[in-house]
Amino acid sequence: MVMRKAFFLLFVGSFCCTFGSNTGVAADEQDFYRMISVATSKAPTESRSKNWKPSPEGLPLEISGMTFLDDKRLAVAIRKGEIWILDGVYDEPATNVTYKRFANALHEPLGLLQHNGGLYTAQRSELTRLCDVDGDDVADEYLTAAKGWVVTGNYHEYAFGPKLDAKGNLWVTLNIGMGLKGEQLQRAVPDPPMGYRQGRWRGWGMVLTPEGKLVPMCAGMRSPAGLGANAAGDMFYTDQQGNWVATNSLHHLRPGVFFHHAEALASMNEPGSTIQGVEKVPAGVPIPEAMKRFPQLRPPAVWFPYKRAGQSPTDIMLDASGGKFGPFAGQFFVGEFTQAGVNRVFLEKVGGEYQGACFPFRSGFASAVLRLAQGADGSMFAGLTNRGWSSLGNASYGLQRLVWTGKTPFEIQEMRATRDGFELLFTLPVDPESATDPVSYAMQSHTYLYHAAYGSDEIQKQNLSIRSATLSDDRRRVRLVIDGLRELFVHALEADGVRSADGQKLLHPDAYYTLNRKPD
Amino acid sequence: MSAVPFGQSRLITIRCTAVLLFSISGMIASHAQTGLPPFVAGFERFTRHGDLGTAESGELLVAELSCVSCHASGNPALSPKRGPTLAGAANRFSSQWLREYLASPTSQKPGTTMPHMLAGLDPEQQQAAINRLVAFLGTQKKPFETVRATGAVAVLHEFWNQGDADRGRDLYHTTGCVACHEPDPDQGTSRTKPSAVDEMINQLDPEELQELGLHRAARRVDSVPHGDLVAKYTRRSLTMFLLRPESFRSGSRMPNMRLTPSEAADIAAHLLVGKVTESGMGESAVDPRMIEEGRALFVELQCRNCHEVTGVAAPRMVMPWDRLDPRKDNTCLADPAVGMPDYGLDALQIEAITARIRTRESNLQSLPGQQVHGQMLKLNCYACHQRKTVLSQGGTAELIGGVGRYRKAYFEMVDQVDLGDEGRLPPPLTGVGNKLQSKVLKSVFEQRTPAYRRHMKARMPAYQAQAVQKLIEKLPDADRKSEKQKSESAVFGKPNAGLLSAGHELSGTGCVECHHYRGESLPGVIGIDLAGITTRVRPEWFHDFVIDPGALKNRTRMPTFFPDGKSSRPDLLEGDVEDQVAALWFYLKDLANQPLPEKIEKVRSQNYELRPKERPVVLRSFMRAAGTHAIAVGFPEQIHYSFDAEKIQLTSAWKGRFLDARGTWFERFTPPAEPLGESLVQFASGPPFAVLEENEAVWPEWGSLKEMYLFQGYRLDDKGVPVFQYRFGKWQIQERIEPVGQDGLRRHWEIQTRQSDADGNLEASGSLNLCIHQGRDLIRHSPNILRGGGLQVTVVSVPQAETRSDARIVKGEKTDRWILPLSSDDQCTIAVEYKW
Repeated sequence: MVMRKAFFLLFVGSFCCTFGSNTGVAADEQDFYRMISVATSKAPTESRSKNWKPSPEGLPLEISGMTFLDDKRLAVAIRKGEIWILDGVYDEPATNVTYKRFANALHEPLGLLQHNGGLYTAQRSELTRLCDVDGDDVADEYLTAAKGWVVTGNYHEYAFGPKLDAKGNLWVTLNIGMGLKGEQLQRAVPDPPMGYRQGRWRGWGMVLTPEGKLVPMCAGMRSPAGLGANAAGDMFYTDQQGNWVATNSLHHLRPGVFFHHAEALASMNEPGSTIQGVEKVPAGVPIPEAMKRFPQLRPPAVWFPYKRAGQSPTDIMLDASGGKFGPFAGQFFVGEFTQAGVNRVFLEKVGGEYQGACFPFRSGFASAVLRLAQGADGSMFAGLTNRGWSSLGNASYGLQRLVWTGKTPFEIQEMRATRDGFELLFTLPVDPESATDPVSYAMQSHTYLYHAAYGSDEIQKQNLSIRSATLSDDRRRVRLVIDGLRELFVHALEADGVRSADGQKLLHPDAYYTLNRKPD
Repeated sequence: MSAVPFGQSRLITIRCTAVLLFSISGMIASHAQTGLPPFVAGFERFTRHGDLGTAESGELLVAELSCVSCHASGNPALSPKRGPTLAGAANRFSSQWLREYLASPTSQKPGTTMPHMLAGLDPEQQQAAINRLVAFLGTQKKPFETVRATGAVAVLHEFWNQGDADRGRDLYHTTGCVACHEPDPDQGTSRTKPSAVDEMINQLDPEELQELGLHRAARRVDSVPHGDLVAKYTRRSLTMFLLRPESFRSGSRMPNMRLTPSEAADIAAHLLVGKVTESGMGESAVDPRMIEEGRALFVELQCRNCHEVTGVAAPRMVMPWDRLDPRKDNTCLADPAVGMPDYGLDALQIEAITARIRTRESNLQSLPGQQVHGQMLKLNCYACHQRKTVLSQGGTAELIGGVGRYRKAYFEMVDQVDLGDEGRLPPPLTGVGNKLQSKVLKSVFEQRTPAYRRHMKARMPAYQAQAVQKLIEKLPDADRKSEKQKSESAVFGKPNAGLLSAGHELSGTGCVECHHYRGESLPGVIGIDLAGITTRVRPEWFHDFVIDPGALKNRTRMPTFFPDGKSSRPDLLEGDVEDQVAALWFYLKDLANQPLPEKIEKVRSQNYELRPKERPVVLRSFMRAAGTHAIAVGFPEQIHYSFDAEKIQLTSAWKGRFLDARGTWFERFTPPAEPLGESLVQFASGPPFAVLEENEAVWPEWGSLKEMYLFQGYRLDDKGVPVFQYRFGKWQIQERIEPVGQDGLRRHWEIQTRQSDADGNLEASGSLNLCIHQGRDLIRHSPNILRGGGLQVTVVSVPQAETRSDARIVKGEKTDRWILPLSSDDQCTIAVEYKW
């Protein structure tokens, strides 16, 4: 009995293991960017159905290209092969939108650009210039602006674009084919290098020069669904995770550069090719090692870690509104298909090359975001369609608009590499105590495998220790000194502990910086 | 591993166990469980209303309360439900909740089937035991499964934190959660009118209901309690549980609702509304001794008998099932001694279990129907499904189960369509073993099987194979009508062309009004797709159902097309009913290769067939003849052609209907567009223009000339006819193709010599030649008329400088060509007609 008493006494009140970790209630994205549905519809069939059918009501507004004709009218390409001119898209609510068909009979156009008095669109087989000659707002010229890439007939051979760079080039990106068979193989490049079976220029970025010549520029694309130029007029594209592509990525398009997808080398020896002399493609090695063994292979400016920053990037929109769309002027917004959202990208040049960080920006669109365009008032128009794949959201296709409410979200506006860490610029002044506490931040770096398999895990993960966090006088910049930065690795930052001067949590505490090179 | 060396840890174990045993031996529980007795859905719904026999109810309780986890028995009918795995408990449950739950399971989770294991201990002892158990469970860490994202599955970063409570609330009330769990009284429901029977039930008193046999339908069905989810779970752990319940609870009592990660997060957000702080077990320094003592207690208290954990000894079994004596005092049934499980059973439950123990029979359920019934009770299939079941020995079959009148409103159809209860409620299962083929019966429970009734918002959940094995095995036996299932040929004989075409015709008579065919349907029709029906249902069932649907499915909306056993289409197959049903079966069996019912074809063509009315219609697509750069042009005159914009040549022409554009517009895998009409003619392949030396006899291949050609697109002229633009060497060419009356096509070329070219390579030696026609066995009838390849070709206009007789036939190895030499004038026009 004595023993028993003693035994229990030992423990009375001695044990407690409840620890609460406060996730807090973050502000809502919609407090800062509200979403307006201009037109959204749900198809009666599932997005991957072989028997897919549009809603019986209205136009199948599966938007695959957008360009503003003026301050009011928006021209959209839709996937069934038509171009429509929409008026009234800025109305709130958008109940009186008018639709006028401008062109039809296009084969899955995946881009639209008003340029030199015409509308340009990339169809599967050519870049087409559409013109209304007789002034009835209906195209009567369907002239071939450029053709010359091979279409084997494989479903995956999409052609995207065009978009215009500073030199007046129109860029078109060409999907790689997937699993060519039968007759398709007969249209592939004969006797290709290393046995890669693809049609000519599949997986390449092409330009139509102002002189009217179609020129192959760079190669190794898998599914380059998005193009966009930055404020300097340099052109970028996004690629989608899959075979040879470790995760989603954003690349600067330059002549002679190779990105990922080895099968694009099928066209290496074609006349005009800008890639020469590749004899062996390294496979199954970490990206930094692959870069060493394959000199033409260049890292993306930004990797988008899978799931954490989307699953399938699409269009690239430059915020050229000078502040009408919030605090991110000059940055890129990148559409996201599967997660029905938009991510944000900050770029800087280090050692002459672009690199930078991506951040989650806005989720909750009604369907897959395929196209983005900025309206005259700075608002963002998102063209939606999820047919063939899948996405979050309740609609199958349509048009939505994102308007800045005028309220500034507390976000990491910029993330720059420094010699010994990173410098963060916040959109709002921060609370000094939390912002200078290294515990408010966590960083992990990783890279990927370069291989023919579908996507890659994050490998060689390492937790980095934040040595110090120093705040600028204006309380908007924090300089992080971090041990163990690795070049060609993605550095994932979680700034969960930082609070704004008025006590807010970051709307998105995560940022992913692709550190190809440390500044000198 | 624990920091405690093995020897020492073992000592602690022994001491701890000894102390507790010492402390509890001989003591009688001072207080029994308070709160609801264990909630077992079938017991509450049926036993408490006298529907089930006592021993049979006892057997249900024995399984659901997991009695034989401790009282070993080899009888599969008693096999225990068991509790959730506690591997990973440290990441999943809040320690505060665990403490309170262990201190009083039913107050934390009313109706829980977990017995109170610490009842009767004084508060200090209880607290000490709880501290140890929680310390031990704090070591049970297991990372959550990583949910794979694919093109088909969106997985947001930390998706468990991205749930939307409003969406979750909607999902909770529509996907089927509320078949078992409590709906929110404030949730709006579809405004479906109550059925006639429900109207009647509302107006009757209990005696009348009993008399009319409606008492079961009128009954309120209690809900399986959730317990305090907010206190128990984190957003992540509840989301993961909803997404993969089978990873945490093996018995499939909570089945897999086929949620996407986002949907699971949404429902978790709804269930955890009001949760502010996320508390898990936390990381804290715990005395290793406490952990070891907790580990020992976990076995000692027989927690291990129901819960999986890592790093513990084998379960501690007690008296085997066959030796149990319910007459004894202080059993788990009533007045349990300290250290025994206290289930808080009520009198009816005790009576039932006692009866089951007393029967001493290993097998209460000898008939297949009873075994099905027993398993349906355990899995609570009756929450959704009705089934005719014999409830007492020698009794007649009674219809039991179903969602019940108070839950019906939560079962909706998509798009607010109204097909009555049949369209929105889970189907009754009477005779289902006779209806579904065995493979289908099995696949219904598998997660990868897509939804069959797409018009219903409620989902058929997925189950673990082990849980439904008995149903899959026994349902066919239970529902079989005759000794042996009849084969297809025994029911329908052999197919023939006559049956197939009659089946096509019959399908169009009635079935199309409510059913889909290969994803196609009449506008607004919501119903089951008949594609694959013959691999789904048994031939005999199909036969009987089609002839008299109401006989197999009470109050079905499916009408009979054979009233009084006579066909409503006496014109087909001589009105023979058997032949007509066989015709339907064989037509549906071969549906993938058969034409769709005519009415559906008509609708499809209205939506997707291009029908030129006033102006020509153009479609760019892939086509077999015209390749991957095909341009098809259709004319109101019902004459159409395809043009290859890569090789710049006319490739085929046809009359009648033009094209179906659905594949081009909306199909991911880009099938070639197929001409729909008739009188198709193919034009042999080859370049239209070439430069030849005088009298040169060999027409070049496309490959050798392709660098000289440049396709430049087309302009639509005033009539909307595309005029193709292309270059060939120094010549700029426009080609216009249009119908000549109803007979054929006229091609019209305009050729200009370009003044200059940046490339400077315009000069080619030789002169321009046009290949007017090519084919085998060309026969010239006059200087300007030639026949061959099924066509009559007439040169109707040539440049002034030329004469028609200049055209010559050049014999080739594979094909002959009719070639017109052209002088190198700056400009000329040529017209040729092709009639067939």
